[in-house]
Amino acid sequence: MSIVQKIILWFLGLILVPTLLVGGMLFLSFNHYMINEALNNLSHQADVKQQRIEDVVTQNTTQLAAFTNGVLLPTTLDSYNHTHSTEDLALLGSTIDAVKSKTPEYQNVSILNLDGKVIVSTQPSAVGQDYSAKDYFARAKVRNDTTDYLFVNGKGELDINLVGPIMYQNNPVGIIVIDASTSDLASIVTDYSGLGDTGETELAKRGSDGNALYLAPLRFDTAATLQRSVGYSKANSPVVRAVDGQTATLQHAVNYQDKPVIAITRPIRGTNWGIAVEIERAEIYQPLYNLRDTLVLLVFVVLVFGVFTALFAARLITDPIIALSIAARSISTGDLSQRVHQGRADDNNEFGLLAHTFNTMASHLEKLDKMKTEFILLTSHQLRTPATAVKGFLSLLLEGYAKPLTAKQRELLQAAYEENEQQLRLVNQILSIAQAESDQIILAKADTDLSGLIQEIVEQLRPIAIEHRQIITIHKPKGPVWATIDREKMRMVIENLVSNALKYSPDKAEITVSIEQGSDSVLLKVRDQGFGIAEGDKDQLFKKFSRLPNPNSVTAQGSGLGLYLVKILVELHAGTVDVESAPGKGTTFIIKLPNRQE
Amino acid sequence: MALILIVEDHPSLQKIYSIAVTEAGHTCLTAKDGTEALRQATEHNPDLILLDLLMPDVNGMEFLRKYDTAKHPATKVIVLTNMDTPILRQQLSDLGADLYLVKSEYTPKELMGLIDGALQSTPPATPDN
Repeated sequence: MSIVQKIILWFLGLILVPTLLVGGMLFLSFNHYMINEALNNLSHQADVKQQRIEDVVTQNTTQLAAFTNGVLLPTTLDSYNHTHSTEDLALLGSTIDAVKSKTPEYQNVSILNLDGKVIVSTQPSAVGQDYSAKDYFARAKVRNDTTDYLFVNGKGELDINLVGPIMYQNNPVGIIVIDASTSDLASIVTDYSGLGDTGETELAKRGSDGNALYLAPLRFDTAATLQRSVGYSKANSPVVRAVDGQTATLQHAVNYQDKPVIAITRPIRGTNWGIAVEIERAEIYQPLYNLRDTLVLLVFVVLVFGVFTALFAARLITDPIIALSIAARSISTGDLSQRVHQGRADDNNEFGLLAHTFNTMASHLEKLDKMKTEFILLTSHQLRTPATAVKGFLSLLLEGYAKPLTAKQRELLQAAYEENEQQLRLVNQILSIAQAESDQIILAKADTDLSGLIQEIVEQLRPIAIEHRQIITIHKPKGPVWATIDREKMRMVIENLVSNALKYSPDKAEITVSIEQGSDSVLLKVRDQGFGIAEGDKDQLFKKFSRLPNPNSVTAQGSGLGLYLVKILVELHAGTVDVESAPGKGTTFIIKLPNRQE
Repeated sequence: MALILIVEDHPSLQKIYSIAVTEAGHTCLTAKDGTEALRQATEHNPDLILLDLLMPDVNGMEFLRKYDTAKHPATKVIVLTNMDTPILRQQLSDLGADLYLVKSEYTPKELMGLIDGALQSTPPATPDN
């Protein structure tokens, strides 16, 4: 992974982590706050509504008791039971009329005898009816009840039957049945203020199987009264829990619409009723969702910002590094003149210092390199001198200056001469390479007959060939082959290739040197019958100090510089050198030179 | 039968060239630095000068400047050195050298061949080895 990428990742992590942490914490605490606020609100509402509903129930109960245990009604009823007089009947009638007119909720008041027959009622059509089959009849003979007997009246509203025995001297003498409306209950329940758009109060009564029967219209089902119930098995229904008598705070309830709600349940004490004050979670969470979306956007913005900043910051570091490594690479490939630009006046920063040091080092390298080259040039020249002297002395001896030589003397002296020539050749190679590497070679080009040059070189080397019974053949066209070349440098090239061919070929082998003039170039080929070069070794061939093993000779010959020099010199002539070879099939070196300029 | 001045500081080489020159039937003078060479040259007016470059004190190039080949048109100058750069060749040619030879490339016999060639020709010749 690149430095820039690493910096970006770190930077992003650095920015993102706290942002996410803070954002997350913000979200969580807001969430907590929201829920608590909502629950507190619901709880307050529930308390209020519970109280008010209980007040209504209490009031009914108290009032009923006043009638059933009062003075006027029991006395009058008892008298009537004995006398059946019309005066008693009229008095009963006016009493219940008064009761009814005093209390607006009372729709009808009826008095029954202990057999269930309606003696007197504010509803004239009821008089004489037999109510013994009514659901409240059995209970009404023995005790007051204000909450169990509910029905939907002709107007579709909920009414309660307030029933109970009228007691005279501790004995029941009749039954009073009050048909009371529950509009006050309904108005308490359908007050949705403070409950948003989805909140409400569910009022229900516990059925015999534990289910919850609604006693008031629901916000989203106004016909629910006494028509709709929720089964006991629905454990997460708030209203079920409410009619079960639980005072509970439910954060994960489900209402009659199957929507997730938070709810507070309260029993209506003294009854088998319960209320659940609830509100949809979605409504509570809406601001939270908005916050979450804002935070996500924020994180995204931070991310983008972070990336750009990181990129910029990274560039501050990597740009100078890249500049430095480019310069370093140039130097490593030989161009010692490269320097690093020290950047905007900022010398005092870390990179300024590095750049400065780098440049100093490069200058030092350049100087050393020059010194090295000068050293090589100077010593090479100097090395020639004693070798020249040896050449001179041996030559004089071989030419018979001192005395005619015996065959043995000649042989030994000739061998010494050859070795010395080899030494001179080596010095020349080193010199040429040093010059080439420091760009000091300037070719002394002249129109030369390559054909003639080749002839010269081959003649020179023929004695060596004869020693190993090797043959050198020249293939050339009839006339001269002209090229614009530096004669001495090309001599070195051809000498090198031909003597290599001789060295790496077995005895009696034939070496072929051919030259031909093409349409756009001159082709020079040197082919031997040596053991060939493997494909993998071909790349290494022209490299400095590369030497392939030679099974023809016991000792390693050659400096490993010959082919390297050949390549440099040929390329200086704007030519190319290639090798065609396969193991066991000999080798051909092919030199292509541009035609003579006209 | 010419008078040849050999300017060379290396004793072995001086000896070799002297032998070669004398064997070929010429007379030779020797000098081992530029100062001595100037003295010999002005005193004896040789037909040909074999000139080394790297010498102590006054080197070959300085000698040639002071000697002034223009003043001695009849004297051939062959620079015989182991230094070999195109710049040097050019400079010495400008100073009037007739030939520039690299010592290590010639046997004494070959050298004499070139010397004879130079002595016989009037315009300067490029070596055609």
